[in-house]
Amino acid sequence: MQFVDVNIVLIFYKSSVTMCSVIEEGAVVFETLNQVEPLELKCRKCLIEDGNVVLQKKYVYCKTCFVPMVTHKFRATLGKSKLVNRGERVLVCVSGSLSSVSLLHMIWTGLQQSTYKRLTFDPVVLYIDESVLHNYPHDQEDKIKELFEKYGLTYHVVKFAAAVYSDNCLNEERYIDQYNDKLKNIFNSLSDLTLKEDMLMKLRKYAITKLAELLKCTRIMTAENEHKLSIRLLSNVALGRGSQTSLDIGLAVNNKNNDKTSLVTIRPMRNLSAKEISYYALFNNLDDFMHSNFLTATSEDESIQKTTERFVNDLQVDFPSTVSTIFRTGEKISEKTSAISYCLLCQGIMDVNMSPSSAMEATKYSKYVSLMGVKALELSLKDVKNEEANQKNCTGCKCKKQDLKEEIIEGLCYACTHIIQNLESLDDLPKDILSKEKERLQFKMMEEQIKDFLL
Amino acid sequence: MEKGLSITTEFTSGLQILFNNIKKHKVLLPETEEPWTLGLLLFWIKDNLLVDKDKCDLFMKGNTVRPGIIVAINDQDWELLGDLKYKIKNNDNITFISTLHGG
Repeated sequence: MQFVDVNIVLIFYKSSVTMCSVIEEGAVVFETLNQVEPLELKCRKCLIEDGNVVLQKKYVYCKTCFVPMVTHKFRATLGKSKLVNRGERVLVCVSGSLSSVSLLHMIWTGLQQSTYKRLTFDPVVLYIDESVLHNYPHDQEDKIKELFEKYGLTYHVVKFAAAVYSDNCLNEERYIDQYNDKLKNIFNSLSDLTLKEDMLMKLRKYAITKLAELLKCTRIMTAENEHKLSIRLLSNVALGRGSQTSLDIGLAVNNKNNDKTSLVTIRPMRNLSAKEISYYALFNNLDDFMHSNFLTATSEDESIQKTTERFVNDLQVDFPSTVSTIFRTGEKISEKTSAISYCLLCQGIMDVNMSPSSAMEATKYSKYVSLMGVKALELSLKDVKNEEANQKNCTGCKCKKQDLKEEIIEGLCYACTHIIQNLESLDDLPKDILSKEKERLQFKMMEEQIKDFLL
Repeated sequence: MEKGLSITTEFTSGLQILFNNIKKHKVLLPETEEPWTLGLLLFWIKDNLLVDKDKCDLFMKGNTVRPGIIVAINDQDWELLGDLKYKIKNNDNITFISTLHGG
């Protein structure tokens, strides 16, 4: 029986051991746990060598066939995108994880190839040093530099705080301590692990985008693999970032202006599984580095991201096609084309002017009812807003600060408002974001003023 | 004649934080009556190498490794070698690779 990818619907029954899928004719069949069949010991490609790796519990590969297979997949993903032109400057983001170290190795190998297979772009390697937030071994930075030297590519090692706050990111030394404190402040005031991790992701993205512009790169390559993207897809939905899914997991993500100078993020490793990458690194003797985040070594129940990860991994053990199914489904979700506003913090698409029956409005309404109690019946949502505004017009400096927070929240997407609400002070945000907010406010005020003159 | 087994265990991709930040451990397994299997080795690692015993569930789950951790013996997938039942030989190089987010 032929299963068609498109039609496969995953129903996540955590407790049940059957997985339900819909086949072409629309009938529902249950994929039951098969008894483990003895594996072929020979490589399925060359049929000569003994196998080294088993993918999806059934495909056996030997060392010599495996590495070219992985490289080919990488090149195919990159080639399919047709996004990188000859001589273009590409920012390659390396965090030190196995994935990113493998990405670097694949690019380097690609640059050494004979003429017709050679990669022709100009890579600029970037390592963002997050040691201010996590405890890394002291020699980590030197080791990373050593690795980059070995490859002989142009590289930059930038401190995270400098990348976020400074105008002079590449060699900021004077204010670095001050910036470090700012960064620590942000994360210290967020007590929730889910939000912390989410904020880290957004700030990283912000830093990378900023550096790419500074280094005159028009393409960014990041090393997320299939596994990581599937987990991100599910946790994004849980976090209320559903509308931004395609930005976060897509192959190529363009920033708004669709001309030649626009910045495109490419994820060339997205068709490779975590296992493929692990073995690629193992066979090529690639060493990875510490790359902690806030979730490292935390309990699985403390954050949405970690819970999702466990869920996916646990399913994956018995159903080896879990990750690819989630991933292929996510791929089909596309971005709204008529987006009018973008979130100040994450640059994601915002849901504005939603119909009253949307989930967004429902959440707002539920919050309003819980705040107002019986009064909710008498007033409509709009009236409440007016009333609130009236109350706020009182004098006193305390309100003003609160006001700024509320103003900025208007320019944020649903998920980002949660982050900002938990921040003690907005002063620690990068000043670009704050100035953009001011711009937005001024624009709004101007619109208000000339409203009566418009036809 | 032979006293125990001398093997190398390797923990990469974030797993090393559970083992004193050292990736490669050369260990000597003591002689036992039963032959050493991978399943027994896991418990031996837990008892002897793991630094913080509270964090055991970051490495193991039940009697096997936590889902998301890949095991390779001499660069060969353990799924090909009978998983937990694999009989460890002298000079084996056993690698544990975490594929979990942030290690």
